[in-house]
Amino acid sequence: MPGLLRNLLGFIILVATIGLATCQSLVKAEPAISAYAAEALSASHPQAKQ
Amino acid sequence: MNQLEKLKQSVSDALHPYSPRGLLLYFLPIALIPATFIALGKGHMLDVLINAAGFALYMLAAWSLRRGLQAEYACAKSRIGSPPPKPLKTIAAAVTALATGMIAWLGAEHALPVALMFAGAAFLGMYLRYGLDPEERQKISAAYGYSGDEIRKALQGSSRIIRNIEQANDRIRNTELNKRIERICQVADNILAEIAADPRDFRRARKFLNVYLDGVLQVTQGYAKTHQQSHSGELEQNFRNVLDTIETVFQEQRQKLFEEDVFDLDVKIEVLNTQLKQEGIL
Repeated sequence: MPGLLRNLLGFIILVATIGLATCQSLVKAEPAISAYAAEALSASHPQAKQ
Repeated sequence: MNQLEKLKQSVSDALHPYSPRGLLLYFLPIALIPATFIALGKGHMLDVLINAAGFALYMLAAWSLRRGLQAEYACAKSRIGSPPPKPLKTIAAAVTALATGMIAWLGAEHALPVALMFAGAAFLGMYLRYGLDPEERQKISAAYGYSGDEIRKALQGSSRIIRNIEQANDRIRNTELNKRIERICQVADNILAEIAADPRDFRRARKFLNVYLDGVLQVTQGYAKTHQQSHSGELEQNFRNVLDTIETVFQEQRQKLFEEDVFDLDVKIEVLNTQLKQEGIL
């Protein structure tokens, strides 16, 4: 596998796994964070509420 | 190596400790800091411990990775380098996998098999992004009663002497002499590389390594020191003569080493010593 591709793949896997695990841990510590996010999302897309 | 290449090399060496490679691991787990404080605010001590321990493990992995990358650079740069004594990059990958698995299992409350998959993916990511530690050190086989390690140590000592000669050469302000010394160092490096590849030559080259390289170091350091204090044309000429002799002998010895001829060093060493004394350098 070419070095650049291997590096890029490694970077993506690292960011995805560590990012996902730590952010999920944060959301579990403060469930309101996900609620705020959902609220913000529905506010920016009002039709999603209907 | 010309001046520009030398400058580039020394800038690259000086900047390497500040290279951003490996810093990613310091920033990725940043979400664990608010997670720890939120858990603390809510009085969930177990979550505080899990998040804080995860963060500490990531920091340990990042530190280990940076040290491993620096050791790897130093090893690759040295001509007779031995890999770092501890597998720091592998340790960093294992600690990252452990931290990720632990955070996924206890922090994000995934099932154990899922957490194990997180750990495996983190290890794979570390392997692909940074690689593991260099393979087992380049083997130097035992020869003529010397063990491989003894030969390696002797070669590393000689390599250090060559680096000292190069440093002394940097203090000499004479392009012609600089080039001569660089050529001598190059031949000496080649001889070391040849001995590392085929240690049967070590016995024959041992005196050469001990005596000649020390001799070159002494005269180069001596000249670098004295020529800054007084600029004497005679001293410069004497130094040039000695370098001439040394360069010729180095070339000859390398050729003989290559041809598997017998080293006739005893005679050469006497000749060199006599010349150094005559020229007033020793």
